[in-house]
Amino acid sequence: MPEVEQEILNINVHIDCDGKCEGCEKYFGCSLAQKDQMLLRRRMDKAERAMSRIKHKIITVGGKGGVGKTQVAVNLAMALAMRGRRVAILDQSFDGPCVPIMLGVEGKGIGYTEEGLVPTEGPLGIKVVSMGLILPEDEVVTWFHNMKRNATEEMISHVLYGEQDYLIIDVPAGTSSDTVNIIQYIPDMSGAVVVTTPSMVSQAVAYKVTILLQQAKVPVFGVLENMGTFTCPQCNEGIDIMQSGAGKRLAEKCKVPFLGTIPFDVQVADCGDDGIPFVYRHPDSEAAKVLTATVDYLEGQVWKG
Amino acid sequence: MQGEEERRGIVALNVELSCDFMCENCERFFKCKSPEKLKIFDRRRMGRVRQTMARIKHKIAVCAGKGGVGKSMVTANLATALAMRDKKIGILDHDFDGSCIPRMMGVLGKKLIMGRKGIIPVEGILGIKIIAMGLILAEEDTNTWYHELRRNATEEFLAHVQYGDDRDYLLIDLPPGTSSDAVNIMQYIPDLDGMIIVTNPTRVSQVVAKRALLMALEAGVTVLGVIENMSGYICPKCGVNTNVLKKGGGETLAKEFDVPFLGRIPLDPAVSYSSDVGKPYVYEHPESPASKAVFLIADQIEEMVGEKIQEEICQK
Repeated sequence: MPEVEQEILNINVHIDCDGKCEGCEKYFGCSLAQKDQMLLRRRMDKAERAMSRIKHKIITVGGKGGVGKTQVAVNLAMALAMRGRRVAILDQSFDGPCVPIMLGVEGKGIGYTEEGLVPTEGPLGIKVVSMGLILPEDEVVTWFHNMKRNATEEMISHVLYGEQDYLIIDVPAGTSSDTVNIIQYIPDMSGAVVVTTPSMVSQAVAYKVTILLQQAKVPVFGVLENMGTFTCPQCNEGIDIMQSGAGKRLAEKCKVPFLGTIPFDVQVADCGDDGIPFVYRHPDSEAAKVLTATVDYLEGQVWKG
Repeated sequence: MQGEEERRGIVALNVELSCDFMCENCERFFKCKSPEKLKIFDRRRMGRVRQTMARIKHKIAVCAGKGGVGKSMVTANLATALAMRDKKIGILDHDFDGSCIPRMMGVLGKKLIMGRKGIIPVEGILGIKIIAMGLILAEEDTNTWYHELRRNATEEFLAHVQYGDDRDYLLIDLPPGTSSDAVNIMQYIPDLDGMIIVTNPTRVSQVVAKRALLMALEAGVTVLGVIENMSGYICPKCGVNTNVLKKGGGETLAKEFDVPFLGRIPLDPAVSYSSDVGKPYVYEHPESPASKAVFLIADQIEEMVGEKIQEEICQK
């Protein structure tokens, strides 16, 4: 019997407007006039007050997992702190928070006063906020959307950041709740750094998150490519373990600047595990130079506007 | 700043959770001891899922917690390795945001078809049947789904796909994290043969993989073992093996939880290349160290789920 076959063009899911903007997947696609008003009625104003004391908010995204978003975030924070800026870092990964490990504040816990959460102090006075400082090592978070959103709200509105020059926000892999929530709660985001590895697999996912940012009207500072050429420590042979070129290709496709390639470097991974950012520990490395140049560029961009 | 602040350490986030009997939406599903739990759950649309899944011999989930350690790469190549032994395989790419399996299996651009009896999977090499969001969404489409839509999509992918009656294995590739997508799979397939945890050698990856492992244990899912991917790189020029990403995270994790350590897969440019062009390396380069590692893992998995007897492995 012949089957009537049709190509699946889209999954048909039912979405009516129930007026609950913060729970709505179509938030960025929506052009209803009520949208902005509805959002203001919620607890956004507390978030806005806390964020207004921070001059520049920058997020590191990638879409794809394991490309080095957190490495880039902690090193951006460290590089800025090394030149005297007041920096805070917000780890938006609830399932697998890595920021505390990479900044050497694992196990230090986070404090709480009547006025709010007190960020943990990291190297060079960097203020660290992360679920990793709250959850015990052997506790699993299996949160769905609403709890994540509530946690994000807590971490933005009820943390005593104080006056800061920069807040670096590390967003986990994916293009859903975690990314969307933070963009909704910080409408005046200075911009995003998109991290990708050189492979096409990574590029394809990074492309999706870049599209999302553009839909949400978050400025994209540029694309930073990580895990580039590996140099054998014994014989100095350079090799591309992971193909090449995705960073440049993505930047061209999305018409944003290409910020450079951080090479695949044993020392970089070691720094992550040991909790000392590579810009500090190995300031003369190629990795540090690329990262520092990125910071130069970012500072040029944010202090303009 | 004022004088002494009264600081208390935060031991947990206080979020309100009353039971509204919506088990399929409950983050505390695995911790819940209420006897009502499973009864309520069966009343929902699990029946159809159970029927479809019952026709598949073995269901195995591949998880990591940490992103970018190689779950999809391992899933694609493990599937291919098993198919090279004449097993009938299905792959469910359960990463909705960053669906990579279609590219890795060389079926990017093909589309899923809706037949009379359900969704018809796309077929890759060696008859491997593939279901993935990447076979529906266009390249520039972004998925910003929250929990409900994901759960519904999972249900569709489990209940309404024509996997057929002859699949020996369904490998389920999970995204990074321990949230909706991982939990939904474990809820909807209570007879999962087990979960494979993929990690890389770094401590950072191990710390996150630990949470994924704990999640599986909490859910009562058997952990079939831990694979350490990206383990070492042999320079083609001088032959020296450099542990680019440190060493040992995978084996340590397996020991800590007393689960099998399934093996190490080395870094190899051919692996990344094959993922990009869609030709699984176990098929293109079966003699490479990376492929041999995957074949060995396939052996162990087959033995664990009861498909292969111990003697056959010893003979190799």
